[in-house]
Amino acid sequence: MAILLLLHWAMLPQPLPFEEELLAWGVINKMEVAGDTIHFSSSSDITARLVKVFVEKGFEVIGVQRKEYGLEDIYQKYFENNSTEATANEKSDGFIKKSFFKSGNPGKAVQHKAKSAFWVMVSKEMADHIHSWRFIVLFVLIVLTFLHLCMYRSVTLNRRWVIPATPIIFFYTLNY
Amino acid sequence: MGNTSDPDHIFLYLKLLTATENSMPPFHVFVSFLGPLLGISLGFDAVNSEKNNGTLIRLMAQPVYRDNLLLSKFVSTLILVSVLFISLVLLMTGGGLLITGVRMEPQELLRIMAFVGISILYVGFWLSLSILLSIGLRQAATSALTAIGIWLFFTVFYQILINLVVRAVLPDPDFLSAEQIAAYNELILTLLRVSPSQLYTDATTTLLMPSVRSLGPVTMEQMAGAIPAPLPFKESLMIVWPQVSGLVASTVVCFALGYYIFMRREIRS
Repeated sequence: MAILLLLHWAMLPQPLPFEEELLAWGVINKMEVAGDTIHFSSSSDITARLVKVFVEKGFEVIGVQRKEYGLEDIYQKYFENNSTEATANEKSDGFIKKSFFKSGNPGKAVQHKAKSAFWVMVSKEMADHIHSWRFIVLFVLIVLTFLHLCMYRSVTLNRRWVIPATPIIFFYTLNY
Repeated sequence: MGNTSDPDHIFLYLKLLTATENSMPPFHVFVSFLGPLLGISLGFDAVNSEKNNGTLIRLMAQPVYRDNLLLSKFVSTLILVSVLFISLVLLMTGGGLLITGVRMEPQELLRIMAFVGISILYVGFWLSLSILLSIGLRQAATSALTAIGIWLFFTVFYQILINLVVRAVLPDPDFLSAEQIAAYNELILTLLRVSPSQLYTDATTTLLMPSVRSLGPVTMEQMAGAIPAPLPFKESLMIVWPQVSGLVASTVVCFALGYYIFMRREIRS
């Protein structure tokens, strides 16, 4: 949630004298002071508390604007400045190139988008696999085979690991 | 472990993976059978089922690059397989430490990690092959059967075929010189190494058994003066490097072919 607080003040001091007190609430994610306005970004609605604090501190609050981000806004924010035209038919800059070499154009927003989209898809594919029966069956098969083999070998090795009773063989083993 | 004439007897943890009893094949043999199944089963319907279900068009309607789809399918499966194998090996190491109380040699750890890496690579090859088939063939069942057919051919029938061809073509060894026999042996081995399972078996056997010094015929002159001691990890790795390169190359070729076909294909129809 975004809250815009308009105060009757020519120029607010930066930082605010009680900024730490506000941040201590734990719900304010971001706070920006610009001229006579303060922009808050918070995880819950704290409008009433904010106004109360500012009034108590002697500020004259002349307006409050609240904005909740919908799905449309989030989508717009996420993909803003990115061209979505025919992306599905395009080739990316390359996984290896992006992973190991610096981009020639660091300001290019598409780079960020492509990487995010790629890892989102990787996560989706992994989740699909994990929830599929064939993966579970194969996983169980391989794990059981492995555990059975390991147990079998361990028992066999333990049996052979016994120190021989006769000292001659014992010293022979040590001398090797 | 009790057999002190075995040069590998000091590597307990490698023995856990390679020791064979009468009824039980070693673990790397199991992986050479189950690994391809894992790769094939996780990739045979990667693209064609998306297309048949109509989800490919919806996915591509999002601002996602087309090659990212293919890459994500490959990378996600490889991550899962890697986690599976690494977890199993860590489990084995931990269990071995608890049961026997024997310290693990650094060389053993390196060899086991290399074995895991090659196993992942091997599964990666079958995965890229099955993804290629899922791009090329429309029906998921067809691509699954084709992939299993290729796997069966290379695992079972290829050796039989090579043996048949060798018996039919090769002259009687009684009339050949030692050099000619060695050359023919080399040729047979080269033909066998076309099979990915042969490459995998060669690589894992050499890495997990440090006493293995060569993967081909060795002359008496070469053996003269050789001490029957385990090889260092680096030397074993150098022996199997062609096998590793072959597996990497075949994986890349399959993936690149699938990539080429997928990028040029009309997916909306």
